[in-house]
Amino acid sequence: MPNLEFRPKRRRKRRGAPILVGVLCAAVFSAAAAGIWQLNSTPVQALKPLELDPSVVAAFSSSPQAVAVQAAPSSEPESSSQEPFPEEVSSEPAQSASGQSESAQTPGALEEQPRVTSAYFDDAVFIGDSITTGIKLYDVMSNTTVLASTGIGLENILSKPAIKYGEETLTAMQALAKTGAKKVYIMLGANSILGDHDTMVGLYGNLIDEVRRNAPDSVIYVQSVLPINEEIFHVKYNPNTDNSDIMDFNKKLAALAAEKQAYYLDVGSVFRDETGGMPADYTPDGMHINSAQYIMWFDYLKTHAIAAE
Amino acid sequence: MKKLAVFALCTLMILSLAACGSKSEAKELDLDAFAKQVIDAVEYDDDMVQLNEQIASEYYGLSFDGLEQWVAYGSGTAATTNELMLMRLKDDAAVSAAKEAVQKRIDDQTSNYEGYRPDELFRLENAVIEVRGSYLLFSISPDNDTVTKLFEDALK
Repeated sequence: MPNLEFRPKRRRKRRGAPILVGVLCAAVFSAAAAGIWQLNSTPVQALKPLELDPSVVAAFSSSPQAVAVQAAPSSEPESSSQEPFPEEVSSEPAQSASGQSESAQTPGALEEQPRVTSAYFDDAVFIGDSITTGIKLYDVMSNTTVLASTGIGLENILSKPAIKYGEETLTAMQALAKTGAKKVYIMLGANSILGDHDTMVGLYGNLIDEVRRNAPDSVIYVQSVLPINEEIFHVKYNPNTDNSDIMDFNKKLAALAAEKQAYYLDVGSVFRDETGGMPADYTPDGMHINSAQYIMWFDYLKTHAIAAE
Repeated sequence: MKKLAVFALCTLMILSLAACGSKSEAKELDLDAFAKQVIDAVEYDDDMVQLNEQIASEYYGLSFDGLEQWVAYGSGTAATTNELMLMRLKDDAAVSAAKEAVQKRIDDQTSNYEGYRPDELFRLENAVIEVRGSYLLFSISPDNDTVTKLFEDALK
């Protein structure tokens, strides 16, 4: 009988103790878990940014000419993939993808050629000013070499060390010599239109000579100065430059190219509307070109390329 | 016994709440989504394109220790010096290195545009470098008030 009285108490004690221990353990575990969670940093991994290829996005967006270019039957499947295509040059002339008249507005411009692939630009170098610097931004042109800088012009191209090349900052010619380029594209002169054209053409001629010296046996392309959108340019920059001045300069460049056994490319024809100027939606400031226009530029180059020997 | 159990359960609850509470102080920012939000919200006067690793390395170096993640956008046309760079950094040393890197970018661009387009210098002079927790914001834009406010709101 006395045992029965004690039993309930003992049972409560036995039930109580494990519960208390269990709760205390849970509390300690929770504290420990919270503490460890706080102290641990999240796994360190430098994430790459999303590879949005703006060039591809732009090419399939509203610009009708860019879309037409992509749909041209003779074009190879262009993608943002970094795998190089085997070099192939189609044996028949490409159709005029952009629908623009192929009669070059500047006499002496290189006519349309069989289309080349992106691989053509593997051993190409682009020399120029701020417009050329934009090429580096677009994955579809990532295989080519750009030697360009804002603030470079005909008057300082040979002297100004403005090109980042690896760890060094070099002049364009110093960098060119290191590239082993077989094709050299030049686009300069936009900042020199208001200067004396003959002087500027003389400087351009010196540049071509230096390019030949630093990249012997290369094909040299002199690209036209691009048209401006006069309305925007006159407000943003100065009211004195007109597309007719630019055309005059380009005619002299075409003649210079012939004299120097270089090819003159009327790249400006891609961006010229019926007024002879650049459409407003192609340019942020009357002079530079928007993302979609870089794609148009390169497509023009692919159909105006001299096959390497 | 009951009191002890109740006390222990309360302690358990408080500790759990404490764990949740302190975790929310280290706020996570989805850099990619935030950058897109800024690009959409600000009226940039230029095409802004996302920068790949090659071009971002050219602009900022990006070789210092403690850079955990970054996203960058820049002018796609070279017509302006507009830029947006966001970095997540491991520690104070990384934050210092990152600040140096973006300051160097401002200096480089200043020397590029000085003789050529002095009107861009105004934009560079108003560049914003802001650090909140582990995150660094670098912005050159026509509307840094909006950019800064978005950043501060995102990390409240």
